[in-house]
Amino acid sequence: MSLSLFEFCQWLNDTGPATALRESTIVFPIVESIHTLAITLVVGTVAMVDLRLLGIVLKKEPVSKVAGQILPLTWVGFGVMLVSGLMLFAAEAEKCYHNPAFRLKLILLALAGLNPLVFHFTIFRSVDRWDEAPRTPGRARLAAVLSLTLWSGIIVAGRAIAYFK
Amino acid sequence: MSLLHLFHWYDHTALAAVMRKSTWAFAVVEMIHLIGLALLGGAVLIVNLRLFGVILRERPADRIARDLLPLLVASMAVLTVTGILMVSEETMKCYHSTAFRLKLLLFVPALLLSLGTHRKLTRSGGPPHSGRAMKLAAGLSLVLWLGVGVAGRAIGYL
Repeated sequence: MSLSLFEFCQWLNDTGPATALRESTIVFPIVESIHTLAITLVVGTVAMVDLRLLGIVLKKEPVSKVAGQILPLTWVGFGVMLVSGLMLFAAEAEKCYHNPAFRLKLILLALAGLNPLVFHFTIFRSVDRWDEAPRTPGRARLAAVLSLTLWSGIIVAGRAIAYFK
Repeated sequence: MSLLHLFHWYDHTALAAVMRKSTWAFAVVEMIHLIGLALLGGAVLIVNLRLFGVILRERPADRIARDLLPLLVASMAVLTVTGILMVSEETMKCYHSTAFRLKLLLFVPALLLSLGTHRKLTRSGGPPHSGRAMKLAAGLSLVLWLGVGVAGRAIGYL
């Protein structure tokens, strides 16, 4: 038997834990708050690295040091964001399926994830040559602008989910 | 003029009327507020974790603090303007909201501590501060800012 995406969302929506979370007036807001704070951590730390690439902050610190020491914090935030996000999604899976803001957010998340992957395996390989440069090469700055745009979009789309009900 | 009068007056301004009437004005302002929050959070986190000796240990703390100050001030300005705009939509609710009051009570010491730490760091010009007092201030600052965020989110629930 094959299950469509919508049927999966319906099934998930009606599972015991998802229903319990949806109906809880205490746990749901707590998970939602944790999710919001985790996104703030992710975007805040990613933005610091992006702004370094653009030569706006921390110009005198090497790019590899800034990225290497700040991005682990991003991953912590990302883990919390993912787990809390999956919980929130499960609780409102059926609503989310139809929600345009939610769909947009997923697309933006995929792109925001792809961006550092491409960056890491292409331009970042030559970081030794521009590690100390206040202004990094054009492609690095492009990746930074893309990242800032995509993550801002994720915040906007994420917040908009609640406005499409 | 008492605080209550101030909120009453603000509640009756044309701005408040516009904010209440529009469906998307509040949403847009709130989104900008959240992006500002992320930037402020990032800057505050980097400076305080550096003071704590968790990240960028080999780099001078005063330089990092000085370098991130413009971002801190800019994001603070965005947060203040958007925050005041958001209050206009539900002025009296905010006035009576425990979460809103708590947020402001935490915000004032958080901001003062951040600015005070910055002053102390950049004025001395000596070797990097990593004394116990600095670490305490950094930890307290992180807790206070986290509290501001949590209380801010709670305004929507309480």
